[in-house]
Amino acid sequence: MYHKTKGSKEASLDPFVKEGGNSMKKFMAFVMVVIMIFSCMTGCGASKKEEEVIKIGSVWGLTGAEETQGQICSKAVQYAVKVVNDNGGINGKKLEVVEEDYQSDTTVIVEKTQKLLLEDEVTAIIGPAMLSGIQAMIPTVEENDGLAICPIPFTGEMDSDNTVFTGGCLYTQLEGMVKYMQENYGKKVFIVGSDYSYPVRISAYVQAIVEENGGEVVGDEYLPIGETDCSTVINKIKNSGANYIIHSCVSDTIYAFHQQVIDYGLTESGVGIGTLITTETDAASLGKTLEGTYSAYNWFNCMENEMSKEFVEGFKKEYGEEEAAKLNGNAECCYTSILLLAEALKNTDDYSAASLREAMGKIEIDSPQGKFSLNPDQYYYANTYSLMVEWDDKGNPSLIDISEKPIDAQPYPTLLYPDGKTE
Amino acid sequence: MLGVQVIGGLYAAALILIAALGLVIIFGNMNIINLAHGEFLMVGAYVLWVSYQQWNIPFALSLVLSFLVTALLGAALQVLIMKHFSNKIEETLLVTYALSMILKQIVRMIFGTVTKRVDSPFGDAKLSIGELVMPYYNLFVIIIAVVLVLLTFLLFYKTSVGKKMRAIKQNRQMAECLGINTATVDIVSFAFGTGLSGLAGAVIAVSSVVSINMGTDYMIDGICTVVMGGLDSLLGTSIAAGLIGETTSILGGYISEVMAKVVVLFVIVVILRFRPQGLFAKESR
Repeated sequence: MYHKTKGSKEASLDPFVKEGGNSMKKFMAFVMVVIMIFSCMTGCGASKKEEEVIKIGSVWGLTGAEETQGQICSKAVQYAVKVVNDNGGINGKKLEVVEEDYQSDTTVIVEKTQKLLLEDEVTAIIGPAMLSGIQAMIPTVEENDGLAICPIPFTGEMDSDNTVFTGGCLYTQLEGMVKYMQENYGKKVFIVGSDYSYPVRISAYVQAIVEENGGEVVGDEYLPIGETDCSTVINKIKNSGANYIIHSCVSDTIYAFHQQVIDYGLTESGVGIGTLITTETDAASLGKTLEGTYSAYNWFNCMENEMSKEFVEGFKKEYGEEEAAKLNGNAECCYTSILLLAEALKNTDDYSAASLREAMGKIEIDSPQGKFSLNPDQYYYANTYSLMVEWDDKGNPSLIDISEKPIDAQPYPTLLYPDGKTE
Repeated sequence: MLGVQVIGGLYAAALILIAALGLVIIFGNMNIINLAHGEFLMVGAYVLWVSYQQWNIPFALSLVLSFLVTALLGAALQVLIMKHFSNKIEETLLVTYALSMILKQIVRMIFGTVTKRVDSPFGDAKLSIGELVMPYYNLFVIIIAVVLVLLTFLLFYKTSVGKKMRAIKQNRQMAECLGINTATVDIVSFAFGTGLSGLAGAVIAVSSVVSINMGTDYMIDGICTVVMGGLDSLLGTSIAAGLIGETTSILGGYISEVMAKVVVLFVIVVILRFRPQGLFAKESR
């Protein structure tokens, strides 16, 4: 320690060493200049590369409660981007996906959205598959003037200048399902759901539709998210005398609920079960417990049109049969959303949120569910078909009802909003 | 309605008890709050799915396999990792949390994200008496819970290794001085605890589902039960499981299930306010 101090003092007084210090400064300055030049060159290279691609953010809960839906939606987005790029891209440019896993955590999605918009500078963000995730994401998208493409069937009642809702309105699907169940099972309905905003909104819609059609809501219960003991609520359903159930249970509760309505003899007694939640993704696991139950959505893999078959076959080639069997309405919606976005990008030079949104609202495209368009007069919600299927004992859907044409979006249905949306 | 809820509550209590057993044994004997408990439970469920559902190994044997595989996994982790954190409760929290993440990711990589189902060994058979309908499997779960508690008591009070576990729990240094190989007994304790967690997962898998996140809810229920019963008390845990299961089930019949859970958690908070050591623990925390 002593020698070092002494040495350094001596060095500072030594003229040769001092000369050497200047050399060192010059050398350091040279190194700094070289680094700066390289930085500029790298920067130029990056911006040139950026010009060749158009980035799209893709944010899903690839882990946690959303992961089953998140994984299939993520693949559908990747596949759609591949289809667009294989068909020439966007005026010579390629689409590129920047994917983020928000871990099904609504606090993480804010951070991921900021990263996508500010660091990656994506043109638009697609995802996630849960309403709670979308609700958490939208304020950040608005603050940074981004565009969020929300690809799940929507409860409505949400609008922003920075969103398009490509999944359509649940009201469209619910109206058809409630009428069908009432005609075939009876007038008394029991509503069950997981305890968060989406099932609560579904319940409000169902109650309004049931009362409008002369039916009766005999129960309305919520289970904690992920609850797997449904015995108490099933006992309540039995005691209520319900003719049919509309359920919107999510996560592991879907599987437990379908199994336990059989275990506790509810289906034996002729109670019908309808849902907007259960899709092909869950069907693989649910198997025979789904038999005789109904689902409504805007697309099922049993649709027979050419584009639907092409979508399923193409996806199968890319990801294999097992993954293709999980394709559901959410995944189809992601695929269709990217096709719509690609068309909008071709028709606009300005990739700002406002221009893109406006361009997306002017286009009608062919999609696996049929003709697809957004409704600019209804806050850019999609006009979607209404489909209903019955499941067999192998978890395969068979179509029992489909609307003749896409039904106009109703994010604020007159049944609940007789005076229209009020600010 | 009340009678049906009370019987239903027995089943709920049995599930909670099975899920909490591994947790209380590992804490009681080793002072480790095992945050990977839910993931050992999940691993046990996957073992049952592979052995019973995929390989058609008889159900009883598959349950034994679930216990053995998770016990071996626990023993390996004790030898490789946990022994280095003996009596360091804060560090073990972090280590077991990391283990939980690692186990989840490994299972995700092997089995994917699709939820699995396991068929009941009793099929759709159920007991029907008046308003009461209960699948035979639920009765089986209640019996299994009682048997597991009795076996655990026997292990602790009637076997040589059980006496050594209790001796170490009372005074580790004195036990070492008396020639007890504490390292070996720790391996047995941790393996037995994780094995019970795995067995719990296997039992739960049939009436629930097999999924990567299935352990999380049971982990929370397990911690509530163990804290309420007393962190090192097997008897306390058994009684707390009964109280929580029955209260949730009976209240759930009259108010919403979410509110029933809120009320139960509130009652636990009140109990801990006046008995911070839990209902039956001997030592105060």
